[in-house]
Amino acid sequence: MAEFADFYRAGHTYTQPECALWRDILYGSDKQYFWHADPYLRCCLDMNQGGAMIDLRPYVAKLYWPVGIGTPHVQDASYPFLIQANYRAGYFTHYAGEGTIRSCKLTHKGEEVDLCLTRTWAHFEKKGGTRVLTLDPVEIKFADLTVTLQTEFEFEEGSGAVKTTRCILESSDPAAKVELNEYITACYGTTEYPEDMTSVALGLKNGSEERGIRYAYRCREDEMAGGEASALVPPVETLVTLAAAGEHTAYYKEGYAFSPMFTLGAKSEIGQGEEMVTWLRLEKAN
Amino acid sequence: MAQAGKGKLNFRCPACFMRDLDIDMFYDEDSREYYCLRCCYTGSEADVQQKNRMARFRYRAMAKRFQRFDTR
Ligand SMILES: [Zn+2]
Repeated sequence: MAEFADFYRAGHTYTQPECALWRDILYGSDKQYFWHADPYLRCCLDMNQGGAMIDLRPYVAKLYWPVGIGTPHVQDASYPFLIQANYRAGYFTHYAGEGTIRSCKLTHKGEEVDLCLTRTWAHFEKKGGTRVLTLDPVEIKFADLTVTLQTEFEFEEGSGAVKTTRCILESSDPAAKVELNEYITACYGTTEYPEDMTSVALGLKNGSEERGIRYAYRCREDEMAGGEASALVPPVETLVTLAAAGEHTAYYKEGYAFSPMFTLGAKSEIGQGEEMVTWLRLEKAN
Repeated sequence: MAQAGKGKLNFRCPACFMRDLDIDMFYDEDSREYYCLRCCYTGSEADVQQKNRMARFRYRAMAKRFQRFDTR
């Protein structure tokens, strides 16, 4: 391993990510996953779920995580996740409440469609210090409106953030507006069993205001015009922030005993030719 | 391609179910297949039915009628 480490260090910089756009061949599903890993975060985007983030690890926290007999983690060497869609339900299929995932819901006249239900494929490119993943456009059909939406993810080297741009390329009614709800539902842990969430602090802030709550499983929510929503997760020494550009409403949602997670989000109304830009940011906090 | 929805029948994923994971599938109208959000399984209704039959091999006493519950 030491020899490999020397070889790796000689060819890589500290902020340089490892990116892999994986396509299933063996199982014949043709679906794609995109893995991104750098010293700030590791995440997995599932193109079979419209590019939803199904795994997220806050490497930026650089957790001290000793493993072995005599340590708090005798056998579990996993680095904690904030999102793990398989251990923590992901996009809901039939249980009440949602699991951990980072996706976007589109709403028009009370009809709601989550991008998790769109199957698409992606293209990867490197633009200077930024890795860009561009998804093939997907069609969202509402009862009386069809929109074509494109998603682009940008990973700027060393930023600890994932920038998401959603653009309505076409609309069957160019004057119609659709509400985009960019959200991350997260928690923390290394297994499928929920951890104590009472140390988590949820907050909202814009230029002039700041308020928040301590997690108490009471299903509370709050929103604020402009600004950003954040969650401080002390057990994994991480601050998670969802920020958005332009006119929008930021919000958070607390969970409850049977859905012990939190949601951070931003809502904005856009029409044909318009876009919504958000950033998911991870920072060390202790 | 439009968003997926629920099919006319609500099938669970046969591949996940063989691992005792209860995952409902969605239906992709365009490719006329059910697919799993969790694993790589995709298949037509006929294929799902056939794989479900396969998964039943564990329930050896499935067709047996139990009349008494106090014996060993
Ligand atoms: Zn499955």
